[in-house]
Amino acid sequence: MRTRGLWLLAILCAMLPLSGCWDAEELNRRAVVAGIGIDLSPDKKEYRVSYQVIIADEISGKTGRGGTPTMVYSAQGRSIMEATRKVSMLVPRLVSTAHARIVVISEELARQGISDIVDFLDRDSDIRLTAKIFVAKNGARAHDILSGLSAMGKITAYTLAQKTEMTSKEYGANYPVEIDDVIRDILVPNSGPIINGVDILGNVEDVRKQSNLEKTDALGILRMSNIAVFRGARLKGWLTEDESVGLLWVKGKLNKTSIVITPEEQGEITLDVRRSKTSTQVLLKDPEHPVVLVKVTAQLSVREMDSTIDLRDPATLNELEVYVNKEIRKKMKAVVDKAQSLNSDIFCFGQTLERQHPQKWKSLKGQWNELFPKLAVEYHVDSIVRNSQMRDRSFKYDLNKE
Amino acid sequence: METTKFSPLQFFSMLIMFQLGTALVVNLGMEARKDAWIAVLSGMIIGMLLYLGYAFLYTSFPDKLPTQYSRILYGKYVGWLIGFAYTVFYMNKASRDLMDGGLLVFASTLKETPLFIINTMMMLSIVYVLHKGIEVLARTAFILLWVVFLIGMTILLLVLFSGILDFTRILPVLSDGVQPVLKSVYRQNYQFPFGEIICFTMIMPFLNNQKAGVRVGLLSILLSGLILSATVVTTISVLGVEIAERSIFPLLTMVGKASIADFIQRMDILVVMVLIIGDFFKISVYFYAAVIGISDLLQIPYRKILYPLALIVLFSSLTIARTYSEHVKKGGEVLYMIDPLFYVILPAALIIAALIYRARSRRQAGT
Amino acid sequence: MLRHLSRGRSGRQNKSNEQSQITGDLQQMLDRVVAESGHSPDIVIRHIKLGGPVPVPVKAAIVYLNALSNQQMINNFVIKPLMGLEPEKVNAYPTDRLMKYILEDALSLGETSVVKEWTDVMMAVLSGDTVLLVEGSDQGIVSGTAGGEWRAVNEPTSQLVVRGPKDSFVESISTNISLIRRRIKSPDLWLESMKIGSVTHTHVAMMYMKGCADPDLVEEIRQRLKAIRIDGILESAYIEEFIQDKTITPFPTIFNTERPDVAAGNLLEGRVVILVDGTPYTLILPTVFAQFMQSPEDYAQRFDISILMRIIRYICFVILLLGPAVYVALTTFHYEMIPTLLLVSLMAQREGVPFPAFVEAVIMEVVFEILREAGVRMPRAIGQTVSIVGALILGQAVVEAGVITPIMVIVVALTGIASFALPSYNLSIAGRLFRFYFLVLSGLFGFYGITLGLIMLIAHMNSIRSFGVPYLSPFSPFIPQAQKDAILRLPIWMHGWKPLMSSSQQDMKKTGEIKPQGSANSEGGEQTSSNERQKGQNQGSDPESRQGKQEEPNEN
Repeated sequence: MRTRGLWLLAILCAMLPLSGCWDAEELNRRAVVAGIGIDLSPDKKEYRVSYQVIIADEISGKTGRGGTPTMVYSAQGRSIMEATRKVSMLVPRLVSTAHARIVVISEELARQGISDIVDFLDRDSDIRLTAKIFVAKNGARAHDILSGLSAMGKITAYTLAQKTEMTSKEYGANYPVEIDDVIRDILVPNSGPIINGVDILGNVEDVRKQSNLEKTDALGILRMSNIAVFRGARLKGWLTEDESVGLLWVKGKLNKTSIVITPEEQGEITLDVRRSKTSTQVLLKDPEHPVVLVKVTAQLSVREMDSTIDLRDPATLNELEVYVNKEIRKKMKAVVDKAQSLNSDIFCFGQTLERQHPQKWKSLKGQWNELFPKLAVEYHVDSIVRNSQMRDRSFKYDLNKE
Repeated sequence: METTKFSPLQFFSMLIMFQLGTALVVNLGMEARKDAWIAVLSGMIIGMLLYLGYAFLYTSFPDKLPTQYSRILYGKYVGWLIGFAYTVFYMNKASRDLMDGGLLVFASTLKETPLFIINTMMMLSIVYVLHKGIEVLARTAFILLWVVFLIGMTILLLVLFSGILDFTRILPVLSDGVQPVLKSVYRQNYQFPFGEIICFTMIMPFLNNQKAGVRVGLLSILLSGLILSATVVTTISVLGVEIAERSIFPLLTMVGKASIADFIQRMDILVVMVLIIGDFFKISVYFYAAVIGISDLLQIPYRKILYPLALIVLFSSLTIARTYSEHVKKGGEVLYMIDPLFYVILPAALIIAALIYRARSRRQAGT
Repeated sequence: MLRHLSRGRSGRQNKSNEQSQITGDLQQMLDRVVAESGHSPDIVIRHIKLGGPVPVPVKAAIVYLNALSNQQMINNFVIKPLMGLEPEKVNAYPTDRLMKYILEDALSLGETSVVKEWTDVMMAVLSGDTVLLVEGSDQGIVSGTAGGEWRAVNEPTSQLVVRGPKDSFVESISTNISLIRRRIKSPDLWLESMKIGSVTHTHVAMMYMKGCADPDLVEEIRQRLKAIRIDGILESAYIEEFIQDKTITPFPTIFNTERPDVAAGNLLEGRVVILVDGTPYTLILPTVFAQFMQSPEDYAQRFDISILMRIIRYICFVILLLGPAVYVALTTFHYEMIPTLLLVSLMAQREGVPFPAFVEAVIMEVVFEILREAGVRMPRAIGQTVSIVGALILGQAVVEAGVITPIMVIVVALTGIASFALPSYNLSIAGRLFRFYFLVLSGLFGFYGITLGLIMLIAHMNSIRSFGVPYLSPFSPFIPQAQKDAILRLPIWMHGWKPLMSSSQQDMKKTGEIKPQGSANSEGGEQTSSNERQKGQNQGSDPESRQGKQEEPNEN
């Protein structure tokens, strides 16, 4: 019995290598994709899918030929998958998308609707949900965005992803939107995802050339742009920069930003937001007309001023705070108005209502698309100027005294 | 019958592994949508009650297999049939779980490898371990419990530090009332994975400490119920119910979403490892229950029928369903149409008979 | 080959065994010695006339083996007293009385005994003792003059420590016993000895602490030792293979050491130590996996540092097992897990490398094993060169030629270093073997294979027992009180002695699983009493143990 079992085992073991290692794929047989771009084909009927593939040799290999660190391959197809399969006509290696960090969709396509794309991204087991989504703005094609070269960081797609993270931390007009955010938001009734825009500053043709990197001021550069507002799966409009910041305020995603105020009879004063917190409440005083209350608390510090005020005086700071509050409220109101005009509940006020008053939501759910454009939103901003960096007065303070 | 015994601690680890096994990864209780975690918890409570019933049977016949005492209680033929039905049921479950595990591995990592090979590998290792006996399985469970624990901790830390948790996503609680939760409990949650521990009645006679064993079993249901519920909560608050509900393996997607500073990313293979380990124990326990049952019913030595039965499980796992949907659908139907017979009705009948038997033997002892 | 050769000789010896008793005919006896040793020139026969100038001196002779005995001792304590016997007593006494007189009054040696069997005479001579044969007496007197050259006690060559005793066992069993006895001055330290090997008659001694070691275990080991049938024992490994539990496994189930402090420590923990003459490596049993991860150094350093070191050793074991396998699985199956920038650099390295990662890993691991084997076997001076050639030249050249990726060299080097970090050499060999097993599994199935392999490995380790003690105890079965000295090493005042064994023995008793190996021998009980407290210098003329051996002719 024992020997028979051993024999069986031995035969099985011998069989295994014979049948081969099905899934083993050597790294040098993979074309690792850093970014995916999806455009409409020129005849507007098919998808044109572009893959930014990392050429590892050019990045850290010893056998580099001085080429570009990434290459963009694209193919057309009726579906994204079909186009992907067709890319194999151009690429000698297995297109592997697990490391794709960005997905760029052209504006044209976004206006047509992105549900097909989102399903592909959602379903695929290789593409990670943490990939960031962008909409190519200002007539740039997704293909162009992927083709751009960047001076810092050799893989443009990653550079772009890093730009998103950096600017959302530093300026607050964008925040990283990943695939799963889009999926969730599409499904919220009367709402839609918001997706960062990206455009090319400078010449579209120059940005893809290696010569682009031979000048100190690049001929073209990829830039994070304003936020696109969707309703359902369709792009409806773009926010302005101020509205984008306002959006981040309302959603409570803001990390840092700067606020410029011009108090009366004083010069411009610039404050930095160091920390902020937003909470949204839905008030149901009148059951048929819910009121949304957005509460913002912010901590700021004075960074720059063209004024002679004395920051040692708490009263002065309080005055500043009033201006700041006004400024923040202005930005938030701008974006809420815009969203209401587009009738897209990008702030997910509906969900807030659902979470806070689940019973009420059931009755209001059906008419939310009528309710939302008229929804009354109240802002309650409470900001505190915490410090004024290294000086408490401007150098002009003494100048003024004399 | 083997004379090997294992301790309550090892029994506990086997139970935990068994319950977490596949339940951790598959779409558990998502019929209740956001309230899946409540469904899991209620399933757990029902499971504990069921377990008490099984434990009662065990304490009534502490050193007999269910296939043996069913013959005492219901006579030679009916009892034999009940026992046989159970062993067939366990075989079926074993092959289903084999398929489950194979499909997950197939879907997540080994996309090109034939399913047959994946399942064969799994079955080979199961046979290898079971050949060494239940005691080795129990001790292995204890060590692998630590491995799973470490992996679980890693995943937990990963999810916490990547800041993707948003607990508002499980709100509002019970927005659609208790109806969907009850339905989910009825259709899935008490049987899977809690009712499934019925197969441990085949193993409990090997416990070396009767009282502690029973207590530890209850504890394990509590613990694994909590873990499962917490997992569901985490999954939904990371992915949102919209994605989680449609996912075939939500935990896998959830962990794939977690990344720290671009360095630690795509740790979903850890989930696959947990699943393989858990699934291994699930199949092993089911399969062992079936083998020991058949060896008792047909009076064939345990090690002799191990291999033929392994082949049966292997091949039936491949013929059980042609597609994943069919597999899931069949499984789902079986779960609330046939399984209750084995989890509730037959045990209840056995319990009643055991009560009568006990009363009668006491009376006999009295007179 | 050795066994084959020696079997022929043993046959011849048996034939010449026509007369087993000593007779009074001195000349015949001496002729027989010369004949049986094949006129070997190193047998010295010194004729003495007892009683000197008396009228009829009693003829006598001493026989010893030149190379094995201590000449000084023979001259001073055997020949000199024999020459100075009082003539009148020699004259007056009958032979029996004379023998007694010599034994009790003349020989100024601690170790003397009277023998009657011829085989004992030969055995004594071959062990280096001196045999006195007297005309007309059917007895011989054996004086313990064993000596000869042994290696001096040096520093251990394996199992090194920074802090701790620096002596090590040598090839002489009596020296080894003395090294242990010097550490444990307790009457409870019991010693049993026997001779194993029908040709070599190797001294094998079993030491244990009475009252600390499990009597059942001691009995079991005694039985297994007695059941050994072999011509020659040249190393303790021979015994190890005979007495270990019969499980097919690469894992060592018997611990060996050349450090007396380790042996003493294990004795105190209730284990049994088996010493074999002719090798510095003593066996310690039963053993568990955790023991192979312990170094004597652990007890010499602060406990927190020891815990760290032990954890590092466990990590090393995992690296040794899984290092190349995980690398292969990551690069060929799960590339999505590799951090992107690392992936880019890996891809650049792999560009132009002809082999798949799996083949590459196998090649490098095999090369590494070759290098190690070469380095170990070469004379020490050249061994250095081999490692330089291997590490620097081969490693670098292979990378520069683009045959192997640099990262592969790093992985292989890492597993190599990890294997050296294990305190026990034979465990690291087992680990090296399993590394290939995991490599194959991962080459076929990626992490799926590794996971299944891991399950099977753990199940395998769980199924091993060393003299009834589960190999993975105290982890599984979990013994809480033994955790103080398993992965952790809590301060010594917290665990008292015997942390590991006593508890795993309890477990063993609970499950009732001391598996008797082979046929049980029934005469063990009486031997215990007869062997009580032998002083550890020489057991050469212990009739009991030899009888026990010779009675059963059946081979294993």
